[in-house]
Amino acid sequence: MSRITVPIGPQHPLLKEPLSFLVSLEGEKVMDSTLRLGYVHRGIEKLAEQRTYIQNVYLIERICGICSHIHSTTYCQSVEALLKLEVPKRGLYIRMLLCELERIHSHLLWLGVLAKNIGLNTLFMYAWRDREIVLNIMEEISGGRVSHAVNIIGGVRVDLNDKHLSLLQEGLRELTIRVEEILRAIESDRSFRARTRKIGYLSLEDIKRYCVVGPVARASGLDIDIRRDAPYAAYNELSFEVPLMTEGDVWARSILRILETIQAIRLCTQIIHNLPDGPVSVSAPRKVPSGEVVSRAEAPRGEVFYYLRSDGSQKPARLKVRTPTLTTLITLPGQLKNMQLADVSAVIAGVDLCIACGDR
Amino acid sequence: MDNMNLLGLLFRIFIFPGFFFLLIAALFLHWLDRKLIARFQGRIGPPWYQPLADLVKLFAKEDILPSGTNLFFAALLPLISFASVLTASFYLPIAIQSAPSFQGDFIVLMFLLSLPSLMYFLAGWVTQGVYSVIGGNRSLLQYFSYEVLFLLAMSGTAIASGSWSLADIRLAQIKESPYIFPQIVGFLFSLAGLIGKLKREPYDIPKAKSEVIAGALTEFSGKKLALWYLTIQLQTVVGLSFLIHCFFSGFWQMSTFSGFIVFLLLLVILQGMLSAISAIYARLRIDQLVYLNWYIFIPLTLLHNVYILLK
Amino acid sequence: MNKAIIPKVLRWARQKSPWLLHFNTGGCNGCDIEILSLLTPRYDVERFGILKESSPRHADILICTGPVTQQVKPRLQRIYDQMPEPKWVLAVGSCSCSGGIFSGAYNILGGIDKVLPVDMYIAGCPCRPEAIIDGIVKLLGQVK
Repeated sequence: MSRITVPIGPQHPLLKEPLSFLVSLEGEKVMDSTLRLGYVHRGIEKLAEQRTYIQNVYLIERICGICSHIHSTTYCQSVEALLKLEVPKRGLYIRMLLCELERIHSHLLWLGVLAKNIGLNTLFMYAWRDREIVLNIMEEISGGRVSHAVNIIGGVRVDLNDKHLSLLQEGLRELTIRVEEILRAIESDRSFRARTRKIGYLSLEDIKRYCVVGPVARASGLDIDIRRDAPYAAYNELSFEVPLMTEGDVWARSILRILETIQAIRLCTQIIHNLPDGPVSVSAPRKVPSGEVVSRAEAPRGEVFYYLRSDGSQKPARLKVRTPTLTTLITLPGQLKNMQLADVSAVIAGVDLCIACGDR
Repeated sequence: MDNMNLLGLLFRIFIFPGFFFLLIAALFLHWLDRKLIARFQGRIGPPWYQPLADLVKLFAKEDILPSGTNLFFAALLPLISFASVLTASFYLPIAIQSAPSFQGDFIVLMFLLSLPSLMYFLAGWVTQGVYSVIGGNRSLLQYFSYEVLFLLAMSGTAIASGSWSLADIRLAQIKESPYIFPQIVGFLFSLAGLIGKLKREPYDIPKAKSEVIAGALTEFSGKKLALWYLTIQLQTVVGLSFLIHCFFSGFWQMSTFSGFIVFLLLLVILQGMLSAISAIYARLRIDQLVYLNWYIFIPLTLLHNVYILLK
Repeated sequence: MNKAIIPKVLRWARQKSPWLLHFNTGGCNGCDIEILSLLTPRYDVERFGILKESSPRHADILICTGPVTQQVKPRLQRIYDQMPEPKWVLAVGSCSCSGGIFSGAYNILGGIDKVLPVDMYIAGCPCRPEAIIDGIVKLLGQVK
């Protein structure tokens, strides 16, 4: 049987971002696939060396539009560690609140994209409709729907007032109902199950071999979460569960992400109930003493890792960003092998790629 | 043939129930489909003139095809499928008894309605794009499963009436009762077959957006694309009318105004069912589709037909 | 009379049925998810006949997000060439207007207008969906 090669991307309805996948087919069966990255490579790490620490907060937010807040959080954490700044508790709590809101928004967004890719447009619409609740809250708090620019070195830029808190409580209550409904729907829906069960399987060994992190790893049974394993901000003061599944397929990843969304909603509620008083930020000097530091955080897609080296000037000497997407990307050709062409969309959506993060 | 007859014939071909009526009905049903799906999804949906604006715009757009395409065939294929659907409509009594019915026009109609799918497959090969070829291949794969299902499920009505003529099928239903009641199973499977024919969700495998962009139509633009879209929209009307004729005849008087209203009402209700199914189900995979059709639907339909035969 | 009516009808049809083709030329995803949220219940641009198409051959408006990177440039050009006339290009987001925050980076050519003729610029980082709808409406207002 002769093979044909199907290009998926750079412009393809399956991917919002340019990424080139060459899938080699025999009939409908995927025999081989190759990956080409770099369409979104903007050279942010190099650019960061040319700008000051404060300018970089805004640049780093533009690494990725979906998880912009977690990137700036990790960056600010690393600069604060070099400066040995003590961020006020209230500032940390607001940071965490935004992180968790962002997780909800990212997971619902992802669910919509997956649903769209398996041809379930209605679920896409519902998931994105519910996501607007979170966007509303985030817009009310920070002024931006997608990029928030909340973090500054030494704390956060915004403070929560009573109006925000009541909006949050109302919104989170509504979201809990909607998300639980979605969970019930996708657990029971047969056509959703038929398209996601036993698709894109990754074993625990594969996960460890490829250093996969985040929900994809947790769906295969690897219990890893930076928020619990190496708490940053004030996560050690909050109680939460890390959902774990062992099936390791797209279906498990979907259920796991919805469970995580529910946990994130609970975390948000905890944060607004335990919100400490006081200032939200401390002023930071412009010059950063020389040294190097590593900072980690749990993004919606897994662990984000920042390495920052300072030479004592106003600009960083080196900034290295490692995002979770790059590791999951490497597993894709393996996951796709012997799948059908129709499953390619489910698999690629299932690992929740963020190519802007991966390419930077 | 005298003048009156000729005028009447022309009226029937071009105005009602011919091309003009079909066009209006097709555009209306297409709008209804999009509107209903939008409402199911919590959206507002397009205004009533949307399908018309889309068609006019497409007809006025530049018509380009990839180099190496056989231009003659690229133009011929949408025309053939368009013509076959229109021809099918003349054999089908849409609200009023139109064409002369003869023994076997049921089969002719089946054949004419299945031609567009074959043309769709060829269109994929003619335009040579990767997605087009895969989309075309998929439509052929799908063709063998839903076409058999559609034919078997629909032929239940022919078996029950003992004739392959549309007029006889109608007469038999007026004598007894509409076949929808005794043959509800056959009706549902026919609807499934029709969904496959129209390439709607969950049978939209040949034109799955996230997999093969727009299937065999990926490389078409302008007039030819408009013609393809129009063909599919007309096919919806003709297919649904076929279903109504075979399962619901007897609910209305032929060639009366009230009958016409009932017919339109049925058309809208069936379109609503199609839209609801589209909104509810995820797209099937080709192996799941073949399994579903050959292992579950077709055997059940066969059993159903045997039951009708023995009754 | 014919000469007056046909252009009017065409203009009406083109204004009422703009089909979008979305291409990310190297942006951060922020504008892209806002473009996708245009389709969803809160904004629902199908009200205005706007559909997001997936094949360049079916589209009327190329809607680009992000600055143009070196790698993406030939592809952007090709997608534009594949679209049938009449066609328009919409630059969404500050970085697709001018390069924005990324200008000066080694892999960035600048805004979309470095490669393609842009008909409408929509600023914002990221653009709000309302701004994108407004941009499309203003673009269609110029359609002849």
